[in-house]
Amino acid sequence: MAGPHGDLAGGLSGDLVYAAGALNLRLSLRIPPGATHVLLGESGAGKTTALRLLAGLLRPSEGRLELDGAFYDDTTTGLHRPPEERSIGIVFQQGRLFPHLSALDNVAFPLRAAGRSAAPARERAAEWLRRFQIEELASRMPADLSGGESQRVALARALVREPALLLLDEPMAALDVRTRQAVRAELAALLGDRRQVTVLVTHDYLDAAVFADQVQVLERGSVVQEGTVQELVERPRSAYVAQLAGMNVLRGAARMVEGGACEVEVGAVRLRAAREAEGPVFVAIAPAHVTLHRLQPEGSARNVIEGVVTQAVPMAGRVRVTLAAAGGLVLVAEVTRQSSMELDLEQGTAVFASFKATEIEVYR
Amino acid sequence: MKPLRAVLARFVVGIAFGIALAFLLLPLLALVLHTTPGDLVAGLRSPVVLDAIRLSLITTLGTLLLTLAFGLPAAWVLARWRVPGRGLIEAALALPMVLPPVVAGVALLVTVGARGTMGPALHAIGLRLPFTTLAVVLAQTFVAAPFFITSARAGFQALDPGWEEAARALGASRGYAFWRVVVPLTAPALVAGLGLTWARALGEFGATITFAGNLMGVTQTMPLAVFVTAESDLRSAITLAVLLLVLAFTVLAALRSAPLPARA
Repeated sequence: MAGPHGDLAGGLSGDLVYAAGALNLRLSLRIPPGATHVLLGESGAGKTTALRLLAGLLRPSEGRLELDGAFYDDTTTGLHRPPEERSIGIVFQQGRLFPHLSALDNVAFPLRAAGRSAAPARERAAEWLRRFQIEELASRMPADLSGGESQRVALARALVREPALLLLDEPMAALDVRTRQAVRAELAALLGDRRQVTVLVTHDYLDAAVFADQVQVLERGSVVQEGTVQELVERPRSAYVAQLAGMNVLRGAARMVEGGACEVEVGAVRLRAAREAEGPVFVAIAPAHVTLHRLQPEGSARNVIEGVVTQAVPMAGRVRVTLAAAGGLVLVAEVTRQSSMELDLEQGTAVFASFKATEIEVYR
Repeated sequence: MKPLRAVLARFVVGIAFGIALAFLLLPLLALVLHTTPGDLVAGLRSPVVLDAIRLSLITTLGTLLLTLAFGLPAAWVLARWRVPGRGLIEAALALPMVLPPVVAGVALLVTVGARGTMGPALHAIGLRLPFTTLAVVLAQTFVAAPFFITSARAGFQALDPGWEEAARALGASRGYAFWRVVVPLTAPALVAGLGLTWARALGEFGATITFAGNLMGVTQTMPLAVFVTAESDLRSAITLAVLLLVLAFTVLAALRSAPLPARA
């Protein structure tokens, strides 16, 4: 289906560099129409700067940006289209509904800004409120809206001009935990059947898991990993992603051994993995695959690390135990509540952690 | 011991407060008590009084328009642009607020007066400012505009730039974002600044009489008329004085008690 913004071959394509002060942001984006791209990173990673670049609020130091066949930025020719000349909609972290305008007038704002007269703009805005089933909020002022209601109005406002690019800046961050779940599901449903390109920036792994077709992980301005959420979780390439995904990730040097296996030296510890690998590698171990013992376990197929419990956090039906081992190595294990009680785990308990060679993921 | 000393301290502070209040308010009260409603109505029939009121309303309105036209951009630049030597500029802009108004009048005379720096140039294009109504507006603007600029600048500075960015990212041009988002969100500061400027312009005396002169119907605003009639026609003087008092009080009271719109 050909939409109002060109053919199916459109989408977003951009290579952007932005350098200012300590931040040196480098982005390379290829997003097909209808896809949702998530930029995941901690605060200060450059996520918001990335959004401001895409919105045209910032001028890139270098690079180009193309959306559905139209160029928005090209530093080689000096082209920079200001925000009002871009087909974009945006939802901000705290909604940023204009406090002096009713919900309806907030939704009508982008149309009015584009020069539409009041009556048709409001009519169109009312249509969007109906579509989101929040028409009863039309006359309310933003101060009288709940967090969830605000974000729904903000999304209607962002989509009212049917932009080719929808930008979402931590849209869940200001909501309380319970509302967040409901709004996230709702947003996902509302975004599901649309054909615009969506770029979502967030530090919340769940946002990525729910929305993303493709994820880029940003750290200090650079993309450190790119892929689907599944790929990220299975093979994290940074401590940040590993922590988000709840995985143990260690860095080491691999050496091939007989039988299609390898030994990985991680600090003072030597791990055995049932994979072929050579040179510097990442080693990922799921916490659920780590078992704990009070006495040194037997059996050569298992890797064993000796450590001390630094934290034991009870969760639903299990306990998440953090260990400190020699050489600053930190390992997380998840054990059943029963075995935690049997082992009498508490802070300072000396234990042995073990995991099978077949349960280690080794990758470069 | 302690309670007695505390009571004594409260007593002393209370007395001081009473004296301050009496000193500041008694003359104003005397002014109002010195007149009767009949006197006021009679005073309002005097041509001097009527001319002065008309002129004051016209010139202060002109001052407000002039202040808005140039003060709004000035306040915006000071709040949002990177201006070298901003501190010095702001101090200089505030100078007319603390300068003796007569000095302001002399300053205007030597700048745009007939023999001032720019006098010949203005004369060449047929503009003679001194002793005209326009000169009154200039004198009032010179001493009163800084009140608006200071207040508006503070308002702009306090506004999160995220609001402009939000408007821009939703498709608003810079101008649309300014008029439809920035101005409504800073309205309390802008209105307060305008109120102060208007009150100051209404009471302007020294700069006006020095620079614009004292011609009935042309440059004789209410304060000037009070000064002139105080010798010869006390009833007119008191009528105008009471009127000025009531107007100024109304503006100040309105600015204090106005329910400011909520700012998110």
